[in-house]
Amino acid sequence: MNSMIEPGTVKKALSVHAAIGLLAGALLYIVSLTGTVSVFYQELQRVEQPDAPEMSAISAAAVQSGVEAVLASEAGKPATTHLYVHLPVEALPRTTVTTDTQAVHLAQDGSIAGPEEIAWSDFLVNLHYKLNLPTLVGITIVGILGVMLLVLSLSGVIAHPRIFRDAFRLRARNSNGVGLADWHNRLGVWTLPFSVAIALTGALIGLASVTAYGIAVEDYDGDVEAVYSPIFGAEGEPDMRPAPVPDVAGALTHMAREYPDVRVTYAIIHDPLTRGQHVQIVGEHERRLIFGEYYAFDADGQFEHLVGLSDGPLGQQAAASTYQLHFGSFGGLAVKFAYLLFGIALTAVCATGTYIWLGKRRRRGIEEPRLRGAWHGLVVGTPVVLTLTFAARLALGNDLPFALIFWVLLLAAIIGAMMVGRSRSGRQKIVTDTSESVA
Amino acid sequence: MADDALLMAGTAGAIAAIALLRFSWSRPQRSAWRNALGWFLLAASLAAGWIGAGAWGVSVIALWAMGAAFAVLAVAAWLSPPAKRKPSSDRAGMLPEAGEPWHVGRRCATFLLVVLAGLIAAIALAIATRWAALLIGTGEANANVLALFVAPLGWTILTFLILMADSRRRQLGYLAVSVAIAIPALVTGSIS
Repeated sequence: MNSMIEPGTVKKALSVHAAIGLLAGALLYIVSLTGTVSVFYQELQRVEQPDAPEMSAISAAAVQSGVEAVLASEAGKPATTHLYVHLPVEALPRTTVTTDTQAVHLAQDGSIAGPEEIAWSDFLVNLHYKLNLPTLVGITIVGILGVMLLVLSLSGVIAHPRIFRDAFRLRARNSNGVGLADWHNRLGVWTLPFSVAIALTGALIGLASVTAYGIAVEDYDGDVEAVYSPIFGAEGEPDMRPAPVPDVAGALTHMAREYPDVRVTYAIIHDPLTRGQHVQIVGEHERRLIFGEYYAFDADGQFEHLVGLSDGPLGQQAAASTYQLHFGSFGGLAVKFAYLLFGIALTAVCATGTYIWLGKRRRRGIEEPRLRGAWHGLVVGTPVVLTLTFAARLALGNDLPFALIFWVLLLAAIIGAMMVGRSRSGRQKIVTDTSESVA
Repeated sequence: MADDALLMAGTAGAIAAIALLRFSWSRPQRSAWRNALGWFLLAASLAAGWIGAGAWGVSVIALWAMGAAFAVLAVAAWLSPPAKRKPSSDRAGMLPEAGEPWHVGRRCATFLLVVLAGLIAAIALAIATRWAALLIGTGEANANVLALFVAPLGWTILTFLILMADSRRRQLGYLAVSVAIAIPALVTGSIS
């Protein structure tokens, strides 16, 4: 294929590939590594808080009782705008109620068992989603990284003139740069469908806020929510006058009776304890990429309508499919392990790219000990520091400032590795100079 | 039941396709028909996944195909002798060599064109796409989702074109065309 591409174009594409790789490589490496670990977000929560009550199912009455207990516990505080009940599923067999201000686990009978304590898992996901930055800024930067990964994929294919001829060549025994280039190119080529899917869905999720804002300003008088309403359904009309707790049990009973094949994953109450409140049930469908269908109920538990994520216009189905495709949560543990394998490969591609560039410069006589040291610090430091924060979570508890610890330690690792690289280079120079003067 | 059979056939076909491509590409002489058969088998496997379980089926079969390729690569890594050729030391042209000027201003301008102007142009493309989709009768949900997909894809293509361009004029031209496409949408406003 690439024999049809002119050598000048190949060279230019390689230059584009190197430029973007060097500019975005460090953040791409962190996002890729944390994304790979985040695939096991549900399993990590179970490790982080092993004593939370677990159950394969919970009765509708117990959920209702749990919702009432949580709302009662917030009496006198600012009213929550939403209440989410996570229902037990195979990967996370726990019932957890989350409001704007707290998250608690429920016991099998619906009583409050205690607070949810998954600060490290949440830190990990926040690091992947938004680099621990404020949401809009962070998620947009991560979206930009998704675009850069797409450009890297495109330029990488065009810059590789022997893409098919070498597709299965992996000279792993070479330590002189050929082996490193083979690892980078082969893993890059064979993870291409995975990388493109991850990058496109990630870029879409990350840039959705700014894109929707642009569309909203142009066509919806600045109402961003109106951009999403035709896709994910609209919020109801608010009516803040007080009302009793809605009938969540009725909605769950309806689901069990009318949709026995649907796996119910969440019950959501919008504007609880107001007359504008309504209930949404999220149900997963077997062998679908969509994260689920929204089943809308009124406050009395009467079914109203489907939003159409499962059977509506193609756009709704496509939008609802981006999340599971990105997070690898559409096929149980088997798919998660596949995402782990390909995620590690993508992370390795990110790491080796800069090493290849540094190696080429070294072979042309340009030594960059500080830059090489910094890259060592990042590549080795990120997984080590992540592991240390996790160990700190298990040893010292849920209340540590994990984001602060992570970034401070990672910065220290990078600076430390830079200094080690610089002093090693200085020693080598002294040895070389001494040998030359002795000779 | 039929869906299960299709998925299993698709999975087997994807693994066989990778094996066939491996065999074909390892021959001293390339065979067009063997290559074509390998690609056809891979495409047919994905089609079987689509018929059996839609996008979910395609995703699962793609994972099997990539997994099979990784298994073959693992064998290659284990068996391949060390290469005799020297590693490349080609310049990528990203940073100046010793003594060369840095051209900091030019680099910063290119960065701003790609990131800032590129984002604006990509959103303009998204708005234009949505407007055109609505104009030809596409539903609002489809038009909005199309716009959300066009922004990252448009930005990807724009970034690639800008960085591959030989002159600043051509770079600005790509951006200007992207924004100009959105003018009808910006002038006429919403048609939803």
